[in-house]
Amino acid sequence: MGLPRRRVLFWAQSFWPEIGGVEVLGTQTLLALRQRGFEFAVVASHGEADLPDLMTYDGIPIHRLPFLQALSGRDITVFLQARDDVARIKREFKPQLIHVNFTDPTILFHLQTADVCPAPLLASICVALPEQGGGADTLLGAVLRRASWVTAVSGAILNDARRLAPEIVGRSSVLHNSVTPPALTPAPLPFNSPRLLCVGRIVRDKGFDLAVTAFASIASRFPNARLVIAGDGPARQGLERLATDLGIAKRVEFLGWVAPKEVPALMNTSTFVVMPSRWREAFGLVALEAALMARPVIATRTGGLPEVVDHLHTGLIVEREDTEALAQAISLLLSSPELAWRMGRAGRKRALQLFSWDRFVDAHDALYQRLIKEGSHVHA
Amino acid sequence: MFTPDSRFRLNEAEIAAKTMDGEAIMINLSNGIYYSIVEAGELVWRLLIEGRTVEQIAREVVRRYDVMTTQAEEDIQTLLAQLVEERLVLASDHSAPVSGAVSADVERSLYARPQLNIYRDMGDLLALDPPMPSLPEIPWKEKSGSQPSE
Repeated sequence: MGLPRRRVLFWAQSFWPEIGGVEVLGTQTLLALRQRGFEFAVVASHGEADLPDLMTYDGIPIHRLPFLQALSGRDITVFLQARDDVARIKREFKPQLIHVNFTDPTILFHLQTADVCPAPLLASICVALPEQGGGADTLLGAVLRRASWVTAVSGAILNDARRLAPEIVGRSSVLHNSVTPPALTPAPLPFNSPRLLCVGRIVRDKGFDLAVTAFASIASRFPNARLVIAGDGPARQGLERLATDLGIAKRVEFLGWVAPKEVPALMNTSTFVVMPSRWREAFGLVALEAALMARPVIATRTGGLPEVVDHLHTGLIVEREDTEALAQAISLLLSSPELAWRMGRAGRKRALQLFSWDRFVDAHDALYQRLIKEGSHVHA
Repeated sequence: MFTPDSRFRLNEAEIAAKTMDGEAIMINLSNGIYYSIVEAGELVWRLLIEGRTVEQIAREVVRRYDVMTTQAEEDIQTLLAQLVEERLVLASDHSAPVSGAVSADVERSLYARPQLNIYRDMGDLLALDPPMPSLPEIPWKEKSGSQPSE
């Protein structure tokens, strides 16, 4: 007979089948940790899609509640109903640990029901935090103060959290993101027809317009190069118009959404990956995916990106909004195949060492075990 | 300083509030700030919204909680000042005073100073992580073994 399974309530704003860093990583993490003896239930918010209140992912229940509708709509009736539903889920599942992926205020529904089934709280900060906040009259402050342990997906985000709530210094750590290593072998970087790749939702904050502008400024020097944009979003039309206005419409390829499992193969057709983000990327999973396929990365100095991309070693870091520096970095890699190849190989080696999947799962396993053990004394 | 016969009413134009299971939750509909209050604070809130005077509220708190009258009165004054400052309640001059017993005899509970929990950053936190693409935007359907359970 095996050991009793330890029950973890995994909390995320959105979850499979929706897409994004937490969503994609969450499914992989839960399946890996289930093999280590943990039993999961997921609590997520209803999004725009009309998904059922209860689904299962490989046997793991996913409860969807109208958190965002209650909060955005400031609807106290929906709020209280959702709170009662959370309490019911907790009473039925009896979690020994609550693991919240903190990206939004839905954690309020956990705090409001914390006494229903007392358990340690692990708060994983997966998003850049506001510059101010964390005071006694804020939800962020309440989360940081009440968490048994706080992890952040990068050192930059951990610094944000510690600046806002210095009292967490002794109970917080970096737990860098990871992805399951792709089975695919990295292909050589194509230089006869170079392909620069941007991946993500097409919104202004991702800065893909900066990549188009920078690419346009050097396109005549590299007539065979193309810029490939994988993703979609509200800024796509404007981006297509920009490419037309800059005279490079035929040199920019819009792929639309690419399924997460097909991203490694797409990376393999690229020469390097460009991440010109304006916003503070908490980590930058695309940069890690690129590194695993031995692709150098050009990224902006923001959030956790400089931790994933080692400047001059695995890629190039440029300042935000600096299209000239971005163009120079693109030119450098397009004209230096040997350098690009070396950076790509170094990136893969570094990714396999620093951001390995085994390390990621081991760290969660150890943290879960420790918090559940401590919680069994505190909450007994 | 509020007088013993001061009374208040919910600021209905701006605030939605409900009391349930010993907790009061209030939402400022104009700015999205959330509030909650429990235990003795919830009792104060409930009696306040019923239209009871400050004196009646203090008497009831002392009757139900293990606290000295002076301490209860001081804490109620502090809480009231906060509720007024947050525009959760407004001074009430018009409605008729509510009289009569508040409840039957009860055993006194342990007292903790009423604490209004305030979450001012809900709007900021809602804007932290813009929603990811909704499913209708995504052309593929993942096959990884799962199905709706209901």
